[in-house]
Amino acid sequence: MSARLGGGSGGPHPASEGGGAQCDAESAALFPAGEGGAPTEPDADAEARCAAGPASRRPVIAVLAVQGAFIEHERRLRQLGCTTVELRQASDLRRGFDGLVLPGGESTAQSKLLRDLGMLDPLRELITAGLPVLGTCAGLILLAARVEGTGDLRGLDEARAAGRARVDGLRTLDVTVERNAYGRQLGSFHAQGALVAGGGAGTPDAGTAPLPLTFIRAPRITAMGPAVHPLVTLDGQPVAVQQGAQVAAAFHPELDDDDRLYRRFLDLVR
Amino acid sequence: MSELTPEAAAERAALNRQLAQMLKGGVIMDVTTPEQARIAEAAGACAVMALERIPADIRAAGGVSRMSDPAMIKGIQAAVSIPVMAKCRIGHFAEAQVLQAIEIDYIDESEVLSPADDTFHIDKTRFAVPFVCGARNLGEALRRIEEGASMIRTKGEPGTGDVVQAVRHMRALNAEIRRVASLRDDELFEAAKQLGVPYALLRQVHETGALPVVNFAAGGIATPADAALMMQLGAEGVFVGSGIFKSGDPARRAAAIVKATANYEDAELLAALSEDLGEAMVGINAQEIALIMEERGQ
Repeated sequence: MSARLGGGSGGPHPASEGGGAQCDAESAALFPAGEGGAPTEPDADAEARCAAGPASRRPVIAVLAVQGAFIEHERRLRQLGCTTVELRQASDLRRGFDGLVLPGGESTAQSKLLRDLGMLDPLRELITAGLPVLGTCAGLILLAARVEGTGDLRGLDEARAAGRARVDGLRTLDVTVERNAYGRQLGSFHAQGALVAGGGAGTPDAGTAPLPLTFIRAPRITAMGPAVHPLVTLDGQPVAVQQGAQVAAAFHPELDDDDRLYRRFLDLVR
Repeated sequence: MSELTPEAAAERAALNRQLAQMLKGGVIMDVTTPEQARIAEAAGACAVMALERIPADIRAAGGVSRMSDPAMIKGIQAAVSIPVMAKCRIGHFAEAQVLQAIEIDYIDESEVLSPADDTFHIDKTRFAVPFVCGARNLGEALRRIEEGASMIRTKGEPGTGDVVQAVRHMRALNAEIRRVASLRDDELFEAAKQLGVPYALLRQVHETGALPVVNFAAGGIATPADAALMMQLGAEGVFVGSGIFKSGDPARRAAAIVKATANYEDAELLAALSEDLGEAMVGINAQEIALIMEERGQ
């Protein structure tokens, strides 16, 4: 476990660098990241502090929109009463937001664009300062502190795979993930997962009904640090986890009808 | 190939459409060697298309153009972690079976290769791997989707570096979708007959105002501005074939096209991305060529 993993500690958050993003860090700091804290009601102060925020009480969720299935997330978030903004380049970080979604897509492409477009370091600072974040599939890989392997190599020459691109992402979530752990596209699948009850992991209205899961060339969580707890399991293995205000899933809640993981994330925002 | 039960086939069809959703907003690049594939991946490509010759060279070489050597495709699968696509000839289901056997991530039943069947396309519903197919209009797109394609791309005119056909096809497709969306319910039966498409699919387009699968632009895209043009015209991502590795500085151009696709409405950024890219592919005007690939497979 690395010392830079501070996202779940709660308490005072360091001010973010870069004037434009400051209001985000402040609004994020209003919401305790520790799992014991009750969800904070949205209040007029939050909006007053975040000048760029909306006039209403709708939470503003930024969705990384450089590549992947970001429109699907935006649609769902709006259905759940959020306002969405797209992050396509560094100047978009000034728009002010209360939470962040990292969508599915190709993690190599997304991590390169995050860095080249000047968003990687500012977003890492915001997440470390407690900004609630939901990462799905590629988003989980971007959040993971450690990324194992470079994808499926069955039937292929391993020596020739030595030069495959590696994902160098945000590294704020204390987990190890294995990319494309279930294989190539023929290994993609649908399944029913179990919400983890108790331990602060389940929301009161989460219920016990199975959660529909969609895995597309999905990563697997192979190890996690002590501050990380499972939210959803499949065959006893964690497929969605939470550390402080960071929620990450190996599957795609944006492709199924179940809102429970979104609600879990939005509880951290409100 | 008939091992798929109806339930399993429906499951695969859903998963295959969902993979296409993950590719959106991205650039899929034609590559002919593992080195080119690495350049594409490092530039931020969301997938690569493995083929022995890029369309411009297929055009120059003439003769019959076929599926690539599986060993060559496997070399590219080993070289990168992003999805790898490969082309088979229109109607050549045995080539598609070979590509499925090496677990290709997406098969392009492509008019770029010589058609193997001048009447029938592959019954793509019998495959577990996904297919992308070219289309010039709504009729072609819905026929391919009914046959099991889980992603559509405009045909454009491959290997020319001339974007005019891709523009024409994207505009035609989207104009027809808008028209269908505006029809009265009782006019859909006649529209389905005229377009030569199944009523159920047309009804879906009518209700949603969109294709039921992801739609990329392809054919003749050679510059960051070309990619931005196609995205502004409604493409959900772009294929770049000959445009990258027929240019002076492939790595730089590839990265610029990826960024242009992600920020297709920011003219200032597009201007910066378009600077000093070196020589673009020379290109041929579509009216100067004898072989019209877009006519293949209707």
